[in-house]
Amino acid sequence: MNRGIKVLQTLALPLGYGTASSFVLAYYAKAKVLLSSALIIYNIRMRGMRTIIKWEIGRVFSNWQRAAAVFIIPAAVMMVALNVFPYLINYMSTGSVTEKPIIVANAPDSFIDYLEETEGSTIYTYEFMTEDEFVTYWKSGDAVRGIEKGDLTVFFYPESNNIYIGCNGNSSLSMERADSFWGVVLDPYNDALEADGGTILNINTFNPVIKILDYRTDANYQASRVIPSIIVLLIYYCVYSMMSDMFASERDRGFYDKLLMSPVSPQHIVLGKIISCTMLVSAASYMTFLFLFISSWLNRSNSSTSLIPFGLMLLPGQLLVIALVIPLTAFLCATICLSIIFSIRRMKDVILNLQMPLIYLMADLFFQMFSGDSGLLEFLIPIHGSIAVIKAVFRSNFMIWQLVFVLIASILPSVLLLRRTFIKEGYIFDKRKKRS
Amino acid sequence: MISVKNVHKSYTKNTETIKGVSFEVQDGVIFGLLGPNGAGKTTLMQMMSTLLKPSSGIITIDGLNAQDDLLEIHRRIGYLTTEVRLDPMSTPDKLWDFFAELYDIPVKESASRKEAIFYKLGITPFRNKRIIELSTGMKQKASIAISLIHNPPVIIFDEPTNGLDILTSKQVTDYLLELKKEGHSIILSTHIFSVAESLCDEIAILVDGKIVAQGSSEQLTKQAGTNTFEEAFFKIYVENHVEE
Repeated sequence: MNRGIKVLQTLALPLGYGTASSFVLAYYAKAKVLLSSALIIYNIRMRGMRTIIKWEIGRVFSNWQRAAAVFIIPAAVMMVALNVFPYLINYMSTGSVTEKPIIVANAPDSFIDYLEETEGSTIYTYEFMTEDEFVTYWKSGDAVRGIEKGDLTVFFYPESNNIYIGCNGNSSLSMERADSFWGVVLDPYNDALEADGGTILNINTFNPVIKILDYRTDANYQASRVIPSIIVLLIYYCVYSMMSDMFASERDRGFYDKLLMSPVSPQHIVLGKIISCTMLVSAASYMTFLFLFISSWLNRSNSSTSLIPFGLMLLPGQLLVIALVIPLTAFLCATICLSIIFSIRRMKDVILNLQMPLIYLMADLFFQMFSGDSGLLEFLIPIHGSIAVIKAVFRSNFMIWQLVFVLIASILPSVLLLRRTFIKEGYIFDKRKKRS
Repeated sequence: MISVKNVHKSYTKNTETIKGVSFEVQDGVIFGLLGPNGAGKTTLMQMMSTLLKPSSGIITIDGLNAQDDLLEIHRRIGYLTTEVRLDPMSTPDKLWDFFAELYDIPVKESASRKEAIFYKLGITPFRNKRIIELSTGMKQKASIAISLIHNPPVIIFDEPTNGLDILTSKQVTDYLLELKKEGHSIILSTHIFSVAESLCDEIAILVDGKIVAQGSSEQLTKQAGTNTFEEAFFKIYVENHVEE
C-alpha cells in the first residue's frame, strides 16, 4: 500500500473521518487507473493541441512585427490615448492645450508659503493677483468670461475669514477641478493652519511610496471609471486581430485545410488555436497593466481630467483576481470571434463583422464612465460582468461571488458557442438532431 | 485501394455538383480525373480527402470509411493543391518540423526524411527562406514536400502542374512517377491532356459531375474512334455535355 495512503488513514481515522479514508482506499486503485488513463490521453490525444499551441505562440515570437502588434502597439496606443485625453479635454473646454493657471487673488503670506513648501505648488500652476488687480480684472468682465471657459479663481477674503472659489457650475469639468483643488490644496492648508499657523505637514519632500499609498484610494476609484473597460476593449481588439489571422486568413489561403488534413481532431486544432490566442492576449494584457502602473506613477502633474491618475496601485490579491478575469474574458472573446468567423465565408465580411462587438464595448465604456457600483445581475452579463469585476476590484468592493458569476457568464457562453461552431462545421454531431 | 461508390454532392437544394460518381483505384496506380473547369474535379478530390462531406454515397480508403475513420484516413492520404497553402511568414524548414510533430513522426526519422525530400525536390537552398519570399514553383515544391511528410500510401493531387513553369512541372511529374514506383496510389485531377496521357494509368473523364468514360488513354482513344487522345476527349465531351 502506498505510504501516503497509510499516513492519510492514520490521520483520518482518529479525526473521525473514517468514511473519507475508506472511500479513498476503495477508490485508490480506480483513481490510479483514471490518473494514468488521463495522462495517456493527455500525451496521445492532447499532443496535437499542444503542438498547435506551441506553433501559434512561436509564430508570434518568430516575427518582431507580429510580436510588436500583439504586445507593444495596442498598449502603447492606449497609453498615448489616455495621456492625450486630458489635453484634449482642456483644449475643448478652455481653448488651451495645457491646464490654465489658477488665479489666486489676495492670498495671505501663509498660503503662499504653504504652496512653496508642499506638493500643491507642483500639481497646479498659479497666477497671483493683489486685491486691487483682481477688482480691476473682475470689473472688466474678463474674470466672468474666464470662469465660463473653465478658469478657476480663488479669492481670499481675510476680513470674514472666507475663501471663495469661482468656477463654472454648468461644467462638470470645472466643478471637478474646483473640487480637486479644494481637496488637494485648500483642505490641507486649513488643517495646517489649525494645527499650527506656520509649521505645516510632515511631508515636505516627495516620497513616492508614501505618496502612492496616500493617493491610492482616490486614484484607484478614479481609474475604475475607464481602465476596466479599456482593458477589456484592448483584450477584444487583440483577440479579434489574432483570431482573424489564425482562422479567417488561414482559411482564406488554405492553410487551415492543411491543418484539418493532419491526424489531429478538428476540435483540438480549434481549441489549440483558441488557447494560444487566450494565452498571448492575457500576456499582452498583463503587460498593458504594467504600462498602466508605470504611466500612473510617472503622472506627477495629476491633472484632474487624467484617465491614469497618479498613485494607481493594486494589492496582490486584487491583481490575482484581475489576472483570473483577463484569460476568462479573452477566452470568451475568442469563442465569439470563432463563431463569427465560421458563420461567414468572405474575408471582407468577416473583418467587418468582427468589428461589431467593438461597438458594444465602446457603448459599455461610456456607460461605465458615468455609472456607479455594478448591480448583482450585471456580473452575469458576458464581458460586461468582467468589466464590472475589474471595476469592483479597483473600487475595493470586490466579493468572491462576483468572480463566480463572471466564471459562469464567461464559461457557459464559451462552451455553447464552441459547441455550436463544432456542430455547424461537422466536427461533432448534434445528438438531439440525430435522435429526431 | 480507394473506392468511391455512388457519391453525390449538392451545395444547394436545386444544384447537384457531383451526380452519382463511382470508381476504384488500385494500389500503385496513377488515376487521373480529366474534365473542364466546373466539372466537379476539385469537389470530388476534396470529398476523397475528407475536407468535404458527400451528400450521399461512400468513399473508402483501404477499407476505412472517410467519414468514420477521419484521423486514420488522414495518416494514409496526402492532399495537395496548386493553391499556395503555407503560412507566408514561416520557412519550409520550420513548417516541416511543425507538421512532423503534428503527424507524430519521430525526430530522427523526420530529419532524415526531410533531408531526402528537400534534396530530391531541390528545396535545400531555400529551406530557411520565408514562404513569402519564394517563387510560385518553390512554394509548390515546399507544399508538396510538406504534404508528403508522413509518406502516405495514397496521394490526392489537385491540378499538379497548374501555374508551374516547364522545368518545375517536369520535376513534379517525375517525382510523381517515382512515387508510383514506390507503390503509392495517386489520384490527380487535371485539364491538361499531356499530363493525363503521360502520367495516368487510368483516366476518368468527368463532365457535369458525372464520369462519362473511363479507361487508359489508349482505350479511350480507341473507344471514341479518334486518332489522338485529345480528339477523343472532345468527342466524349460534346456527346455528354448538356447546356443549361
